[in-house]
Amino acid sequence: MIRLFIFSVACLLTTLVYASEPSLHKAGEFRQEKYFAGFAKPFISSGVFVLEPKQLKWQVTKPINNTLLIKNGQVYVDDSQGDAVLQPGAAPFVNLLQAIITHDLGALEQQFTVSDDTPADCSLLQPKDQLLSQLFVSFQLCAVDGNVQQVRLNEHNANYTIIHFKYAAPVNYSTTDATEIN
Amino acid sequence: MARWLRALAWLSGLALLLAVVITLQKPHIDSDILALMPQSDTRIDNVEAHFFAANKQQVMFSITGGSAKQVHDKLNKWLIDNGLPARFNVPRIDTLSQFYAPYAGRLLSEEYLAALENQHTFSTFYNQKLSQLADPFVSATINLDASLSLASFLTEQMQNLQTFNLEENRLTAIHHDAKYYLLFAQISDNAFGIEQAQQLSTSIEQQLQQLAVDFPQTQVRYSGAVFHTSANASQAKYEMTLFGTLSLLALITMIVWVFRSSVALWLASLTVLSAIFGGAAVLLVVFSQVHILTLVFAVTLIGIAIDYSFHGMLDLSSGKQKGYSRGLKLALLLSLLTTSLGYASLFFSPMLLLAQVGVFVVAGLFCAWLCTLLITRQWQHQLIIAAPILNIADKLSVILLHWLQLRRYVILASIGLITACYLHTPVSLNNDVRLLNASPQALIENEAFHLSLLGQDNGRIMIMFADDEQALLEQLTRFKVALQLRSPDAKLNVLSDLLPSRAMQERNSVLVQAKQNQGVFTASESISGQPFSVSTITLTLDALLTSPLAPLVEQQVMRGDEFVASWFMVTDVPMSVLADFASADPQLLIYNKVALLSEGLTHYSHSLFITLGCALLLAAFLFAWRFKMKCAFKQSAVLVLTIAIILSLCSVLQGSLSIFNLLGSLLVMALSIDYLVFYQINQLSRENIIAISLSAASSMWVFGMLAMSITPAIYSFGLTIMIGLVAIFVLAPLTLDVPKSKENR
Repeated sequence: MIRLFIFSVACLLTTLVYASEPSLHKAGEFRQEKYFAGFAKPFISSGVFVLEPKQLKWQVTKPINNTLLIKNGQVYVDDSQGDAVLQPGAAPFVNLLQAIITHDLGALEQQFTVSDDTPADCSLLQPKDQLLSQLFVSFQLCAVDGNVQQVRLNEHNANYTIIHFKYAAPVNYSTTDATEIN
Repeated sequence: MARWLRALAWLSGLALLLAVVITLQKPHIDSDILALMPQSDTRIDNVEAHFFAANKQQVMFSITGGSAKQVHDKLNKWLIDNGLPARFNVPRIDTLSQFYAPYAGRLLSEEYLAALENQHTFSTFYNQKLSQLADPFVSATINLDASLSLASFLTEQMQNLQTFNLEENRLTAIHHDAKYYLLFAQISDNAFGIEQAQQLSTSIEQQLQQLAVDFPQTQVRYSGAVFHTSANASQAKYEMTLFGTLSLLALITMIVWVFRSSVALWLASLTVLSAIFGGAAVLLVVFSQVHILTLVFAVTLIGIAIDYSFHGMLDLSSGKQKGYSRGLKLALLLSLLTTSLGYASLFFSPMLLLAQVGVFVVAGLFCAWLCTLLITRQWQHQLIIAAPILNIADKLSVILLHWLQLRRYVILASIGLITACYLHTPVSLNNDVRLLNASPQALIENEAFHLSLLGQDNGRIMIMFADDEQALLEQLTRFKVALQLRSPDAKLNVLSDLLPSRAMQERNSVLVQAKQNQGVFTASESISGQPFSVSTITLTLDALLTSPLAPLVEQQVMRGDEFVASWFMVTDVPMSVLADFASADPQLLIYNKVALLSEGLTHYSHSLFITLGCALLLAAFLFAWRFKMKCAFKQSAVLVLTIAIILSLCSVLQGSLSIFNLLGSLLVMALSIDYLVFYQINQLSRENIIAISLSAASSMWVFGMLAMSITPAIYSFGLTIMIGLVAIFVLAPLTLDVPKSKENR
């Protein structure tokens, strides 16, 4: 379960870095819209993220506070007391994550079939892995000037998620600064 | 000519009998070491095959180091190509969700129960779930159950069941900062035949050797019962061939040296073959499945059976009468009776191996006795003892006469030896079942390493019994709660996690309904735009056994005619805590096969002690009946001294005694009684001295070789008999009063 969750993070990071410049320092805001079949309206959450060469902090601030941290090949999630708790079982995705952070397209293409998509500047990533393909039909990444602007995660049961990104100036943020972006 | 025909007819008859038995019984030679063990608790016997049989068919590989991934893929491909499919299959999330959907609201996770406290806690839980980047269970179930009770339940269950990581469809585990790729394969049921186990084991080892050459930086460990079977079987076969061949060569040399005649060799062979054919025929009538270790121990029959031939031939060769002397016939009969009674006590052994050895030896000896009485005597005129042997016998007779003068000193020295040994290492019994294991150390280490890789090195298997399915689920739930209260670190996955009891499902249903009435879901229902509903259908075991988790559940639960049982593993809990729970609840057992079997061996050791005591008493009565009281006392004292020397010396040499020392002692007791009877009846006649010396030398050679065995059990057995035969050879003549040699004949 946790692996799948981390995978999602890794996929998102793929979108962040895939179309990015060699710089591994990125930070900004995100807005996530989840469309569930049967729901009258999408579920919207938002927050901030900070990506550095060795860690990613993904912090939801609305409608609730929730932080995910990937650091030194390990994944930490805030528990109900707000303490970062190590999530076992995340190690398998560390390699993938490293490939993403270092923009290792060769490694990414081992797990995804990448093709151009419409509109322009968008790519379609289809998972080759059996487990990953159980979760997602495909990803659509749309990037402008090397920065991913939008990711759409298409699931099997007509549910889908759209994430919009808004970048801060490319400076060397420390992780602790992430909360201040918001 | 007639005697040849009679002998051949006799031998052919036995061979035919054996052939018929083999044809009808279609015996199977077994090499599963655990199949030898005493049966344990009846309830456990009933469930363990169901619970753990599949584990016996599993082989596991762990691969680490450089190129581990490549080696994993190559090995996986090789296993599939060779009909050894991977055992592990990840259940699909969508099918799992579809299966559990009809029971939404009745199966609640701990997280969900906590969230139900009030509207705020539930809203937080709900928003948190939906805010996550991606949660496959939320995605897969939200269309079926917008309340997310199902998503939360499945998330919790899958997290509990998750032992390994999955990386691009490869199983991995991290252990001491190193990554291991894991492969589990399922071998077929019939791979436990010796040949199949060896073939499979050899082909896997060859493939691993090839991989080691191609990828020197990669380390592959393998484990599984089939490798132990193969290793033990190879060792047993090797030892059986080696010991059998050497025994045969030694016996041939001795016979030719004593009689200088091919007829003697023929007669000795005839006796041994009769014993083997007859013993094997009866063994296979009684047991259709024979363990290979039985055959190793059964090699000893050659040593006992040939004694009858020696005594018979030497008696005939004296040429003092036509046919056997009365004394010889009596001595042979007494010998057969005492030895058979000793071995017959093994029939009732809870260890299959011992029972099989007992049947084989008793039946074999009876055939040897018949052969000696009916066939051997036909060749009397061709049996002559070589002159040099007679000279040696005369010299030995003189030595024994002197020896008799030193009787007191010899007995004192024996007592001194026993005391010294006892002071050095007090006699103690070690009934650890691992004494039976002759597997290579590397295999044992691999097994331990894999257990630690699976996180089971500090785990204990427990079994819960109950009268019916619902009682079982209730008991499991109560036990888990109580255990986690006492040991908060305890980790265990029980059946009632996947399948809460009917009562628990109804309580959950009522709780959710009540919370809905209290408005706990109001905010969340407004997000989803639909009211949450609670199922009224109860999940049952029958239904669960049709789910994607059925392979897992089937192995975890057993429904018998009189009870229902389920096993589970508990980790990170001190054994004393589990023992407390088990002792307080008769329905709860800690399953420890090694301890159970060792306990069985302990019981059997005690009964072997009693058997030894009974054999001693029986011999004493026999001596008292046939000889005088004073003589019977001396003979019994010699028997006691011999057994005491064996046990004390073996204790010093081995550190402790095992059941196989006691078993060996029983055999020595049988042989000792033979020697004492023959000495008492035939005194220090040349033929008797030669027969006993030849018998002792051949037995020492045959049995002593077993002390060279790598298998601890066989080593102990051989050592015991070697020491015992030396002791009785030295002590038996001391029971004679005066050197009369002919009056009693």
